[in-house]
Amino acid sequence: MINEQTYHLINKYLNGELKGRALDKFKSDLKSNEDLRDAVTSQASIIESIKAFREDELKKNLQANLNKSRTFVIGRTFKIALASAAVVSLLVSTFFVLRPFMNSFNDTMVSEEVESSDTADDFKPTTEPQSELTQIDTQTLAIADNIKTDEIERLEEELEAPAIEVVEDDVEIEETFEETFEEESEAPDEVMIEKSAPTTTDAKDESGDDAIQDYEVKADELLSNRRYNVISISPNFSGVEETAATTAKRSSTKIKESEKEESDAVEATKAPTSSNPSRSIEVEHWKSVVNYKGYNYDGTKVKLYGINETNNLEFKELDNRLYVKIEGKQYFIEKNKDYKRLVEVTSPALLNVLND
Amino acid sequence: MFGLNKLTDHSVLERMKQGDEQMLVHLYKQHHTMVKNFVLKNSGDENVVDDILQDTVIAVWKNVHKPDFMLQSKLSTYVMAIAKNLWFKELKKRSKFKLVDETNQLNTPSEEMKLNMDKSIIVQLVEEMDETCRRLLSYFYFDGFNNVLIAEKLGFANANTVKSKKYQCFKKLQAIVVEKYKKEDLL
Repeated sequence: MINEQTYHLINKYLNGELKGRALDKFKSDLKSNEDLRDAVTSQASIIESIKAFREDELKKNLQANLNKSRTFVIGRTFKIALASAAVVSLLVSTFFVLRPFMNSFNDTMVSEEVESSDTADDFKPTTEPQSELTQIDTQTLAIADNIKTDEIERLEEELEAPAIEVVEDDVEIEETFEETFEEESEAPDEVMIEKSAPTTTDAKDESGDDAIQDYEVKADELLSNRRYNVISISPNFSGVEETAATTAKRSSTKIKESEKEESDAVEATKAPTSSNPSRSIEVEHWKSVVNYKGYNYDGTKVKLYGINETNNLEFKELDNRLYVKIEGKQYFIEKNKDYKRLVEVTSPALLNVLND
Repeated sequence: MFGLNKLTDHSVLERMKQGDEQMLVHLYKQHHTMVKNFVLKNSGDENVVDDILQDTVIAVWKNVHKPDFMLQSKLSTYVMAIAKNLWFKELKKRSKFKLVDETNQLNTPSEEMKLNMDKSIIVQLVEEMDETCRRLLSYFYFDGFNNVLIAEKLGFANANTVKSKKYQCFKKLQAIVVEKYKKEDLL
């Protein structure tokens, strides 16, 4: 075994740190001293082994770190995917949980709309397909499609149902049931009252539609009621040839309704025009819960929805057809049981007659 | 490892000098594509890319700790130069082995192989040493850390303590090696 001084000296020699005289002296000692030669050889081989060990260790650490970072990247990707899946499943489950509430809300709105119409002018909702889809508001279509008389009645009963009482005897249950049934049967047909949450707290159905309690049932609101004079127009013959020619030219490209209007205009221009206030008509301004804009005309009364009541209206009758002028535009009013959108008159010939 | 991509060459070298082994991973990742393209274009295959790159970053690590080390180009240029040298060396070695194999001159274990076997036995003994001695000797002989840095990393009082501890550890290892070889001689 070598001493500490020789060990450090050999280290310096092997590292190439010995210079000048020190190096010469060490080399001459190396030639003459066999133990020193063995010590140098032994130390060199051990140092080589230490280096090999350390190199191996570094490589292993490097590989482990690389694997770890790869695992981290994969893990991060997996976590993101997992989180995305969780969010999607949460959204889907939320949708399915809330769907009954939404349906319940829609049904409530529909029943309210129908009831308001019924009480106003005996309007009966219909599930029959509409013939003139283009003239019907989408809200109206949605309402018409969703109306189910059974469900409306059920909801009415629920709104009127009393709180469920806990009873011990079967007899009492029967009695309570009978009383409840009587109360329900006596309930009014029209549900136009604004209901608040507590009244429907116990009125839960089997499907768990207890969301009704969170909504206030609102009806359409009558804003004003006025009478207007209807000016009856009798057409004259002036400009018959010109109007007829123009009408014939355009009739090939106009839609069916326009053609109808054109023919009206032609017929109108065949007779002398004279404007006489012949009768008056009752006009009601309503505000719809669903902001519906349109009208309903039963022959005696016009109900206008979504039209500003401060507007000056001008009613004219031509060939037993009613027209109303709102804000400078002429609209065709058709007698109907349904609610319809206001259809503007576009035929120039008819407009001429109406505006004259 | 976040934010390491923004490190400058200087800071990478500084952190290597401080013994931050994470810089090896950084260098590896930064130069993987370049080295891979080079090796693949020069008769190499995917299997050797990792080995060459590992040897390259470890060579950089060793060189950085040499007292006279000075970077005179971009770090990536330096790394690529080492990778190229290592790959050409490997190619040369392969062609040499091929030649030897063809002339059937490798029937008996050579002196080099015997030396390698001795080395692997001592490596095993190093691995069995206690943690402090193993680290101390590794840091000094392989990493080229000076005594001050070793004292800092291993929690010694000062450089002189490291110096004397180093001798004790080496003496211990030498004794184990001698003991091991005596036993093998007996067997």
